[in-house]
Amino acid sequence: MKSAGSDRSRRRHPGTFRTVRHKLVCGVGREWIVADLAGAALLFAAVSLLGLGYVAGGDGARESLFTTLLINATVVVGLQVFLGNTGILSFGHVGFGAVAAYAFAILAVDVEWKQRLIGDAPFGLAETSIPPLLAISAAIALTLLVAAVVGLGIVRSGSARGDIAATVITLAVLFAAYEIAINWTDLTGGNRAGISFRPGTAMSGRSYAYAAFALALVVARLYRSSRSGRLARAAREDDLAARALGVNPAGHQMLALLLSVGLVALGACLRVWLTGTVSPERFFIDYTLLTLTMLVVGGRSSVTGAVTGSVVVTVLVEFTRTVAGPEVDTGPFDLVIRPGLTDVCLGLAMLGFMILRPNGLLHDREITDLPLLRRLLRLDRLAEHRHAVAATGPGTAPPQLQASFGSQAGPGSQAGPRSQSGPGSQASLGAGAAPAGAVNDKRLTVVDLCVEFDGLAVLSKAHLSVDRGRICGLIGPNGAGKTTILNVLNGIVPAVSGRVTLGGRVLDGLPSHQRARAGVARTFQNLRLFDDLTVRENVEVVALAHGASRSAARRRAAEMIELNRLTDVAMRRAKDLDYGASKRLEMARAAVSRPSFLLLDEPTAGFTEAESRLIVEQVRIVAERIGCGVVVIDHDLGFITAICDEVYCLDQGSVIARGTAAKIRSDPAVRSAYTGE
Amino acid sequence: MTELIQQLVDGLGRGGEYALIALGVGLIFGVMRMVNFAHGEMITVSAYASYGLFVVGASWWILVPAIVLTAVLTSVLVEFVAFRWVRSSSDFAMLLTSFGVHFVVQAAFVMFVSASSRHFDRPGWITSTVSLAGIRFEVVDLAIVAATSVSLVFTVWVLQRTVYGMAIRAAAEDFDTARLLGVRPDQVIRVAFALAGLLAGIAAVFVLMRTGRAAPSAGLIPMLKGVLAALIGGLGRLQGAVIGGLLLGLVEILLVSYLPDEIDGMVNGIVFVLVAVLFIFRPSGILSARSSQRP
Repeated sequence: MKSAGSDRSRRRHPGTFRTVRHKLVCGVGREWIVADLAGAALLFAAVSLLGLGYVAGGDGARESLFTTLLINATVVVGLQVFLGNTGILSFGHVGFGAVAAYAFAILAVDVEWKQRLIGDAPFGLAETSIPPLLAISAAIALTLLVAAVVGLGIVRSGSARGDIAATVITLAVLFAAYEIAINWTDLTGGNRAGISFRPGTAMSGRSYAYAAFALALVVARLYRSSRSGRLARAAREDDLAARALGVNPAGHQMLALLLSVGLVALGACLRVWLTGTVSPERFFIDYTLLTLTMLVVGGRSSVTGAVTGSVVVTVLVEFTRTVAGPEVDTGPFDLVIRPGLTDVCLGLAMLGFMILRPNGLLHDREITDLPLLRRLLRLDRLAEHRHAVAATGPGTAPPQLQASFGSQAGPGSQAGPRSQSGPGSQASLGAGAAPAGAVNDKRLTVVDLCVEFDGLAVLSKAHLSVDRGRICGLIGPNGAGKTTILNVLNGIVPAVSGRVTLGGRVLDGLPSHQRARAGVARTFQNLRLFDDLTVRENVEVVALAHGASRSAARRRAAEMIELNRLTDVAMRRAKDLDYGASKRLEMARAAVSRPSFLLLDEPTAGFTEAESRLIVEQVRIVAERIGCGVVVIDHDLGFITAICDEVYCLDQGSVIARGTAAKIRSDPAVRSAYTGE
Repeated sequence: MTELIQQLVDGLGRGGEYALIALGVGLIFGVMRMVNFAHGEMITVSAYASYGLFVVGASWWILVPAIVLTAVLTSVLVEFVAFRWVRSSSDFAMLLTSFGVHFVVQAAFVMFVSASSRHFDRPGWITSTVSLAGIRFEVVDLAIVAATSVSLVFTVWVLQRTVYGMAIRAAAEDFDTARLLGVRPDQVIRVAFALAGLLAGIAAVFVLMRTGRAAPSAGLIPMLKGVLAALIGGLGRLQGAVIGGLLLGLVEILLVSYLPDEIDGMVNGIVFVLVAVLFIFRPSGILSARSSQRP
């Protein structure tokens, strides 16, 4: 780690020239934008070629089928933006589509024709008509407005307490839109008739469908690699852990919802314009089934998956139509009103994929992840280049890490001298990590903390005080309230009374993510990693949540990954790690946010004594590097003795002893708490 | 006053149906952490079974046990075919699995029977009323209230007094711990599904007596109402499911009676929106389950 630091300083020189050259050479300065645009373009080209080939050999039915595919793919990619990134299942997007579809039809159908269909329409709508493109824009704007209001509810119930409340809110959207369409006959034409365009005024040609599809691809890819998209995915994987590490999912979920609904609304308008008609049934459960199946067959976590699913399911549906025979054929336009076989196949496809391959055909792989394409597009070299430029560029160098060894004066007057029994204990952690002068107000204190679960006192008048740069241990028998203190510190569990302050700032009442940003990071005893993300993404996303730029986040993540000996597995998914690596990743992920205080919940649980000794070193190195204070819970007294400057012993919710590890070990109250003597 | 009491009984009758379905949804959520969107398929399948029996001339004395039995068998079968395999999957996968089951069953009836509904005779007494203290009650409402009460007492008895019931309650509290203590997951889940099927079957009897109709989507609306009721009461709390069901029934009846006629057809939509608004303020229902979960 030290060598990394000196390496950086050796290479430091004005980066402007390199940046300029880099931009000249590459045209675009950011490799992810290259990857995103290339990915969108490749998908667009692939689908277009496939479609053109198909259309060239056939008649008008093929033509309209391909146009329908483009429009459905637009809707499915729109769904992917929300479902894929937030992980919240929504049945309501087709309901939003219905809003847009009706708004579009009501605005765009010409006046004379409209008089025959909905002559009594309110707000003077029967007497006005605007050009289709303007009508589409207006319809999308209206739908976004509705989505913003509904979205407040969705992000409030969010993924924090299981997705089901949010999912039911989306169901409400679907049903409310349907029933309004059926019952508000003055405006919508009711159930049977619906609204149709004057024959001959429906959309002709594919250009709008192409444009919509291309737009959807670009938006979805850019969102996917954006900061917001990545933070939304962290919350998707583990809402509680994401919040505890500084992510506030609400804004990101809202942004994903709005982008997603915008694309779905666009697709819905085109669907109406193409078929020349809208009725309640066309935007209800059948279309929901069709689009959701397309999404999950291909893989909801990737844009390429959404497109693949659209193509595969369209082929499947066409095949079942052929098998079902001509007597059920109702014209080329509708994929979804076909009775029986098609729905059985769609349902079975959804069921089969959920059971056998819940992540779909592609899981989260994108077309630009293909090694061949990466090489052709030079994405890796771009990334490296960019990385190097960022690392050496002015202003992007990390803050000076001054974790000094043997710095004078333990910061807290009450803190006793370090125990000398552990290995390397002479290297007392420095207090000079923070800018001079600010050191002594960086103190984490807990005063008179009381917590109750169902009237049962878990903590009563517990107290704790740790200075930045010190390592403080929490021990005590099971159920003593150790983890609860950590949970209160980072806002997962509310306190009945008491006060938590960090450097003089009162933290009580702040939500988790704000505490994390104030400088309290933690690990979890029973591993709460972002399972489906890679090790690197796990760490990067936390740095992003703390305001690092994308290149800074990558660099900081690389540093923490190296420091925690995870370099070899950096590209593996967190769920595929062994236990030891998972534990180290917990630490790396918490530390990358550069907290003032790092809370570690049983870092040695499940390790042998030899492994525990390695963790002593790891904790020390990490704490030195970021210059933080540490609060560590553990049952391994050898570990605690080796690492802690001070130890608190808890029993039945109260602190029964505090002092150096040696003192605690000989304390009669502690002995009796442990052995029941 | 009289009118209000009539509406209350009416609401309790309807709410009783929802409560029976919601209780099943809650039971299954307890053992699997899955909200079962296929919970209405028991009603759909038993509707077609009773239609089939009706065609060959069976009376309601045969139809009633047949409906209940079909519902139980369907429930257990669906668990065996589909839900068993997604037990440890994500919420997303489980929700969509149940959604998929719903579609396959519905579409299979469209394919093999017909998209249009089949009708059979309702029992003769279904529309008759009785007068009690000057208030006229529909017999069917009284029957539902009685049957619901009996079913609830039975369910409570099963849950409190039998080994299986205790295992279900233990699993609903904490599945992993229950498993460590020797509760066999396969068995508990199967019993929970059978019990949920039984309750849905009883609800199905009344739904079918009222409508006399078998349609591919017969189960959709009752299922949605059951899920809503379970959510209103707070998932994972069984008494919450009952309270949620009764509340939902009452609110619906009141909406039907007091809303202007033009928007009478929108009761379902309005109920959905009301529930959505409720979730904005109480995302985990009226009786929020304890949140003392250890992170």
